[in-house]
Amino acid sequence: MENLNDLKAIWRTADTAGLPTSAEVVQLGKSFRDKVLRRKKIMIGISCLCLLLMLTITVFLPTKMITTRIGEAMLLLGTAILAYNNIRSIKRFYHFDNFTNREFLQFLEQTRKNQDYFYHNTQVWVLSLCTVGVLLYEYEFFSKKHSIMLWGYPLVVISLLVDWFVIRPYSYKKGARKLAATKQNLEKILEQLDEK
Amino acid sequence: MMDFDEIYVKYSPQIFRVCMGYTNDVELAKDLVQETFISVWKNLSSFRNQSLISTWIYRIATNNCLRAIEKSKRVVTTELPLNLAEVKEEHPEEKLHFLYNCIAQLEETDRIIISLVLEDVPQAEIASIVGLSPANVRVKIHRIKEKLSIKFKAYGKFE
Repeated sequence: MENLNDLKAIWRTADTAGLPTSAEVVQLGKSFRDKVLRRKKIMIGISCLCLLLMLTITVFLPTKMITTRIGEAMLLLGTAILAYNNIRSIKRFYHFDNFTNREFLQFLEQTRKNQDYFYHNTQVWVLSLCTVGVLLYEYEFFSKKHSIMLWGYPLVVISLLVDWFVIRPYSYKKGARKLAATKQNLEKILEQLDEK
Repeated sequence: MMDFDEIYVKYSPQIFRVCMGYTNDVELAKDLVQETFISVWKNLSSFRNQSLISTWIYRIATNNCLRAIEKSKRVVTTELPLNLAEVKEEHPEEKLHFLYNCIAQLEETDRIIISLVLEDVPQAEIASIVGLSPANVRVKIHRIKEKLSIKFKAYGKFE
């Protein structure tokens, strides 16, 4: 029988000569950006920018109709929820470098649950607020411009319908498939760590 | 505290072997080594010596391995040769390949644990990397050795 020491000797014969040098790793580190973090930061940036833009419009643009104000408030609330949600989740991505495997898997599981919650709840709320918000907000503009009201407002409605019935189901389906696969894998590995 | 160069020279071969044990894929293992040491480089200043530096690096490396489940990456499990008894005088490379293939057939956490055992990491440290009690790690190591022994026996490697 090849005992453990023999196996260790075989194990150590692995060729490690092809590894990059430390200088190359540092160079890579300087240009390396975590994709998930980058996506979240972009989302926070965009939602903050929208929030600022909406606030500026609300303060400086004179409006007469109450529908416009309600629309503005709904859009502001929608983007604020989106920004808050992303800022809250980004915090979780820091300081997990010293997790044990078990803690890390639990972190992944919590992340998966958060994503699931986002798809089923937060995203629906944000999209609903923004949809109604846009319809109300645009109403004043279009009501003053009868010439473009006929095609402009339906165009807005169609684009919102596309968001709801094409883009969202597509991204949900894609995300849900990935989340289901991750859930299955996570459960399997977490089971392996059950103290028996 | 050691600087990054010293850490890299000392630990990168070990991390590569552990990642190879988990993935059984050279290119994937090299990617994981890079990702691990990029994390080490970025977070070295915030490392607070609450654990051994080796524990910290092994944790990052093995968590990176586990993260592959989010990317749906699969471990390469090539077929084991049907009659290994005939190739007793094989080259060290073939022996290593055989060992990797046996490990690849284990469950994910078992692959991590046996890779750390083969790296001579003490059981208490393995427990604090994986997040299990030392007693549980001891039991797991015993079971993994048994599983490997069965695989080796089946292919004529154990007498």
